[in-house]
Amino acid sequence: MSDPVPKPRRIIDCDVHCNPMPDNPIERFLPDSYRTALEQHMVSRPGPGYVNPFGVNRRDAAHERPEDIEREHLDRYSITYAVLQPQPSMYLSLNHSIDLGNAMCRAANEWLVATYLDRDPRYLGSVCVNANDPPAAAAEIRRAGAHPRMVQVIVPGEASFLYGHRFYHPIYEACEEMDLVFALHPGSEGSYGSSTAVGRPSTYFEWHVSLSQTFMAHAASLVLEGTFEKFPGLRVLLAEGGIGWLPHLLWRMDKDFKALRSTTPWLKQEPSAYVFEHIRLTTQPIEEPENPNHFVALLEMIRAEKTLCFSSDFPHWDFDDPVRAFGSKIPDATRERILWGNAADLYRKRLAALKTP
Amino acid sequence: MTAPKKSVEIAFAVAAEGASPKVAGRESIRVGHRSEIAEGACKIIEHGSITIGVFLVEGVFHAIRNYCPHQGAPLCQGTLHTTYEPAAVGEFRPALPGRVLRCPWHGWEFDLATGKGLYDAKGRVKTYATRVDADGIVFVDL
Repeated sequence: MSDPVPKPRRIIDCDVHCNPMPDNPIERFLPDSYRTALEQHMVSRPGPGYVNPFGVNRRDAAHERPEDIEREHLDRYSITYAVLQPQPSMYLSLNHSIDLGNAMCRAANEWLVATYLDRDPRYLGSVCVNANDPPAAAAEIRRAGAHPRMVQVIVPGEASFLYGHRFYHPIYEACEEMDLVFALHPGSEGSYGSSTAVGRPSTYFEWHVSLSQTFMAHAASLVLEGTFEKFPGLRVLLAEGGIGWLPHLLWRMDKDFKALRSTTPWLKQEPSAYVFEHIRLTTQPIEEPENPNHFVALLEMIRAEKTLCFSSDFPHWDFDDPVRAFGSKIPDATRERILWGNAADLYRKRLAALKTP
Repeated sequence: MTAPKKSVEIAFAVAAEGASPKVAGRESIRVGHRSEIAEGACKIIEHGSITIGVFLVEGVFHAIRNYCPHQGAPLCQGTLHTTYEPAAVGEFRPALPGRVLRCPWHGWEFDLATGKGLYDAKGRVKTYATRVDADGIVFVDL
């Protein structure tokens, strides 16, 4: 990592987290009619049960308030745009009460607009929705998504169904209509059952390294269920799910397709083609092979110059620095695509309507 | 404006055109009397270093090289099926009834009449013209 890396001119960071504050809680935006329900603890959800023993946030950077994020991250790294993924609101799909989940999503989206999006033009927003109630989620996508700085819809990796299931079609219809990206983010895996395909891990360590399984399963489901034939304008962002598993899935899907295509006759081209057209991934936490050439080869395999978008995951413990995280071996053109071009293309219709900050 | 055809749509369009016109070739191989091949069955014939399968499907003889382009499996030991053509999500439209040859090794699908692989735009197995003479003898023309 000692080789000089050019300082990037423009950066879109696709995964920056913000949190409610004691003096600015989400509930401030909840209609009064829900006060009693709040007192009845109807905003509650199951959790995965794994806790990072050393804390999930960086120790060296304040992050609680907008001015902290601006000073510690946006200014320091000259971030052009930061896509906010609000915690814990992005997990509201898992809320036990469907109705309070819906109401809290609306409140969270209004909170995000008031607290961040209307404050600094570098912030872009994610619409929080309750994926367990797709018609309500679609209505919220059309309502909150009307704000010009909202660029995507965010849902948790943990879900009632694999995301290719047609249960979710109303959500995709709304995303397509509103030009919003459908983004998945991990963290809730294991809330419903096991976070792995086999059983519950014993440690946070084991839970954290196996989160990519969720993303493999959702990616295969979205492609093979024909989601992108049904919604040809839909774009999906797999945030914080890793990238090293993708070559395996691409190659295995294309291999099986030769024999099993007739079980999914709606697929009109090899499965990998749908991935390259419709699915994008974020970088953090980036794989760091001992041999940096292996990383370069991996980027070639997944066509990173088209598919990979930078993310820092600020302020979390496994944060990636936009200058240092990728080493010096990758081609400058690929680096520029990762830091700017791919996300700029992904959000292009929304960004085109904004003035560049 | 119609969208450009995707790879599997191209494959089915090629298959839908049916057997490409084949000139009666320089050489004919005698397969045997038509009664030797039952409906849906296959007879393997040898020609130099290669083998060719001759199938009878709905009264029509189809000859196809007995070699899968994937890993060289004896393709003609596979089975005949009907497949589903490209359609909308949730829709199953039967296609190519009884004339899809599925490789015995990895299950790749080929249209028996044209040799077209049904999984992408380019995959194909060589097919040959067949004819039956007045005495009921089946020939493959190379």
